[in-house]
Amino acid sequence: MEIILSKYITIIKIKEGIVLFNKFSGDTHFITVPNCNIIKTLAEQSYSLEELLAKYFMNIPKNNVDADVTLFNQFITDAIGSGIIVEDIAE
Amino acid sequence: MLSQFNLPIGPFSFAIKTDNKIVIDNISSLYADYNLHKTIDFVDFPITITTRSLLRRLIKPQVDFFIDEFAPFKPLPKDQSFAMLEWGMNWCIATKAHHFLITHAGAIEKNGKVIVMPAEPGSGKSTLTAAMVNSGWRLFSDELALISIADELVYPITRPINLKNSSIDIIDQFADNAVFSSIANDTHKGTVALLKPPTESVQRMHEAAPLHCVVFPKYVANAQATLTAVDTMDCFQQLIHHSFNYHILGLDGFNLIASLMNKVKCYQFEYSDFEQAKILLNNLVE
Repeated sequence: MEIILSKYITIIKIKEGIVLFNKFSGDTHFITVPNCNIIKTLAEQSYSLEELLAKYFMNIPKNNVDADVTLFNQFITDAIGSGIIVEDIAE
Repeated sequence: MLSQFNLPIGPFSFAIKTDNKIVIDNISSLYADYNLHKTIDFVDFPITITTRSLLRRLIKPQVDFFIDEFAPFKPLPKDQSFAMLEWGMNWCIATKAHHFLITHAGAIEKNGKVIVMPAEPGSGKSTLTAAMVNSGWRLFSDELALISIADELVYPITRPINLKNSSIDIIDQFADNAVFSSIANDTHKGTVALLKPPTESVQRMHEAAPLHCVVFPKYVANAQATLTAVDTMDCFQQLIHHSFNYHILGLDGFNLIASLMNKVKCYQFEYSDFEQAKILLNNLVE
């Protein structure tokens, strides 16, 4: 399964990270580093979870890999639940 | 017999009809600097303050607020008539004026720069606003800050300032020649009185100005006045929290706040003394 940023999401960059607006739900989301890098990555194209995780680890110090993987998975789960990230269904 | 007053308030026009003596006397006093009897081409908000029940004119007198013949609120005791008018006017703007982002905030201006002060009820926002507009600042509003979606300017809706409980005496002692409305007791906010706005603020109520900074005020007894920078993300969240209509504006509201956050600074402001507060706020717009 590949995932991508929802087409309904508008991204604004600010000093502390990014702010997202979901035009479908009307929700506003505030995302700080390092998770904002995930969003910026998925805004460019779709990725599998494994590819995305590899990219995620390229940008953060490897202090506690297990905890970082847990946090990454939790963020992805929350983002999918919020409609920020969706499955990329090829047309 | 109903008296009628035409009230131009910044970008809006109110037409007030009433047979209530408290309202008539207080409008005549607190709105003395407004052009009350000028003909208005278009009325945004036709309001009537009266008592619809004959019984309630005699027994435990009450008063009703009508907007275009619709009564959105329950009646209130007669001594709260003028306060009810003011709250009702706020309600009209907050529920209808969606060409603005409307925030629960005080707004004051000096040197062409507006400070918007969002705050929770009871944090001293209106008291601080009253003190500042009696210290050389122009009053935009003590309750609703209106930021235009079209041009990002802050628009004044200059009207009497709503003070409650101990703030009434505090401002009465602070301001020279303060003119107050009649006192309304036992309201849902406690004891309430309205303060007449400065004449110059009324004369300039059609002059919008750009937002310079967002200041979140909090009265803390005996505190030294301090300004602490707030990061953009916090400020963005707080503006959404304090807005009446962000959920209605959708992407327009989001883009407006995002644009402003790239241009203005945000501060947390603790104070207890008006003179200290004046110095710090003046420094922000020098």
